[in-house]
Amino acid sequence: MIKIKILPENVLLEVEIGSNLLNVFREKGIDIESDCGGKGWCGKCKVRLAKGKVTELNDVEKRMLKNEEINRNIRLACQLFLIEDNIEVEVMNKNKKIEIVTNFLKSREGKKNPLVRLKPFKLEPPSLKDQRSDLERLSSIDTNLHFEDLRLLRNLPHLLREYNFEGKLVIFKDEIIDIRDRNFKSIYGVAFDIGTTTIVGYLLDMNDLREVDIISRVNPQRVYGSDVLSRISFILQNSDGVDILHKVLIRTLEEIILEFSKRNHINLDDIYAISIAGNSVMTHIFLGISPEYISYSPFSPAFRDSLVISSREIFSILPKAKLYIFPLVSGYIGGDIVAGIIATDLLREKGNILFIDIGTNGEIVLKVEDRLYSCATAAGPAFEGGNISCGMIASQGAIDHVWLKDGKVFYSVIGGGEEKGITGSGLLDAISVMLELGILDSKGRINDEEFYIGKIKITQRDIREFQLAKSAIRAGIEVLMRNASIGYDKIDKIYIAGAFGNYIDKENALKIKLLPPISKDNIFLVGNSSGMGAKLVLLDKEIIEKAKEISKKIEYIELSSNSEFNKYFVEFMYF
Amino acid sequence: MEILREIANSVIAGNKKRVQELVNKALEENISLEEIINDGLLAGMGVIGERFKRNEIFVPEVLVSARAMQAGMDILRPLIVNSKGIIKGKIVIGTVKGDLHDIGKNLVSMMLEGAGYEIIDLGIDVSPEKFVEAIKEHNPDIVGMSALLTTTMPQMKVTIDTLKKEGLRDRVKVIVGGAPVTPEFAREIGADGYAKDASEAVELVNSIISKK
Repeated sequence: MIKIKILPENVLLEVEIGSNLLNVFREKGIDIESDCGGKGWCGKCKVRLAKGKVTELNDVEKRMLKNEEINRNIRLACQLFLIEDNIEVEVMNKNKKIEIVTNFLKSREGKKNPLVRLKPFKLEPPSLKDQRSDLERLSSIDTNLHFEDLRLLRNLPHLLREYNFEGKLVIFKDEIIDIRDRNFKSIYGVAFDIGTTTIVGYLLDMNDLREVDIISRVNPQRVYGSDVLSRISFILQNSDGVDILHKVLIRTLEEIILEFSKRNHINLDDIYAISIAGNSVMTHIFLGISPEYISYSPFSPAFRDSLVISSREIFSILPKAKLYIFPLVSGYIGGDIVAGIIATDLLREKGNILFIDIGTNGEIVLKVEDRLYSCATAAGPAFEGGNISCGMIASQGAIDHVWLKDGKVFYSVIGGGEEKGITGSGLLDAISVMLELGILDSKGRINDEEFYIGKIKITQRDIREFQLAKSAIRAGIEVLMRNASIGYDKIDKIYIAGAFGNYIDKENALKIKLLPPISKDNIFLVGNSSGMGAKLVLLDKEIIEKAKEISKKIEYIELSSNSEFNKYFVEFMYF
Repeated sequence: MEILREIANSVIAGNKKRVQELVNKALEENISLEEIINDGLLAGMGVIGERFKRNEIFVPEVLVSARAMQAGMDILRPLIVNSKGIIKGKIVIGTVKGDLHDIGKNLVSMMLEGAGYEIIDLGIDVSPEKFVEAIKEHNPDIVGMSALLTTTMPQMKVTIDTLKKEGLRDRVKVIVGGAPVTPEFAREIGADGYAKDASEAVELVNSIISKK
């Protein structure tokens, strides 16, 4: 492993030697503009090499960069590989998604409202003339604050006297959750995006309100099934299933927290706020609640409202922090989507916007004027390479992009090197190329029995699987549009979220009719919007109210048994 | 006969209107119901089934052809007095309790109808009790169950166990299918057969009925 620092945010990452820089950005959720998705023809993913050595300037870079840029050590992230320790790079072009998110933060500028904060206090010590209780004394600082924690009350008398009645309150929302000495300065928060496949943790410095570190891990529940339903099946078949899945998840989250603490030299006791954004099933399991009843009709979750609980109920390593759990909309529209809507500020954006989180479950939200419609489609794992003969998730060795140049087929492989399989974005491109070449007809039939991209074979069955997945998403979009009574010309923007959304080629997504026909300039890849929402709530406690409003406002449209959906599902299987 | 071949071809092409026209014309020409159905409508669906099996065509084409075939059947159904030689068997079919998915089940129903079976479709979210009632009422040869969710698959076993309890298990053959269902699972829960898709379902039903 080697260290790389990303400027200007000063994010320090540990990555494998030989990693491609653009892939590092993608995997760690760092935003950079990359229109062509790493094919080397857009020249957008510029970075400035501030320190250290990487692979030599190659022909693509020489062609795409101006001499003046080359002299300034500007490079293309997609072309360079990290071969030495202690590298520093500065991202030159941020993706549009950053604009979307920072718009929201900008709108709140001047109003610093973090979910957890420090407040200094100095109290008159008790005397015979003033025999008020310790708690009354403390409460007199600010009557808006309240106090609930018996554990803290047990320590309060000793702490106040040890600190000579002067120190700092740690306040979560409006609750006093701890008392520290007057020199105490640094408090931290951790935001978690708990995906079915991937978990991302973000460490935030709550004084400076900045991101300090990111760690992403594979969800350890994957060995119990790749999608939420197979996880629930495991729970149905094992009496202690919830407990098992809960424990492996919490262990991984604690590992991430411990790793944050270790590599940033911070005290676990200084982490006071944790936010959790996950789909409904992951949120249930995180809390140790059985998601069984989400899994069959009528699909009802155990709870919907957001929760604030003591972290010690979940994390043994964090006895004093508080957890905020994003509210759910339904069994299949979870806190991750609510967080995504917040991160993209969907409600305040003008116009009609389609928000799509493409994964095993495709969640779709359509904002029309001030109404929000939502649905969830079981797209299946094809977008993540599942059920595809040579399919694999977007990782080292996966073909992630395929394109035509002068009638010849080109492709790119994640991490460089030899292709081991193809991921969803690669398959989407491949299909588009096959259509272009006339190898595939619009009904999805391959003329020749099979088609090769490098060593990877695309079979007729793969195409059929993909047709089902893409049609499920598109049919969901169509149903929402009918419910909102709008046509294609009324859609102003499309936001694509999720891991797949970072890799997708907009033009091809339009071409194969995954997306409704709108200009590709109005399609924005917003990245991990769920993780961004989880971070935002730590930075601004008012988001708690906003999330509540959104979860109440969203209308959920059930698609199973929906005859309109079935009709569109069949119709949009064609390309 | 030329007109029967034309009916079959119109089914294959999914031309509903043409099928209806041709069926009416065939009736005027006093061609027997049995011939119109077997050599016209079902012959066309047979070709579609084969093509689907070979992955040459996909769900939309099958549905369009099945609808054309059904349009023809709708004309003929009221005229059928003696179903012997026309209806090969009776099948009760449904998506199990807790599961609301029916695209796959509908496809199977249409293909079976296209293969000459009478279908009693109980719809979605069908409880074991509803299967029991339907068996008592319709006395089918075969009961087909579908599930798309791994979490509703266990309902197939619950239904089979309920049939046993009600003393109906030996009166029918039970077949199962749906994306997450496997042949091993089918064996485990005591079903008589499993098919991985609609065209395999037709083969499975044909083989069960021929052994009867």
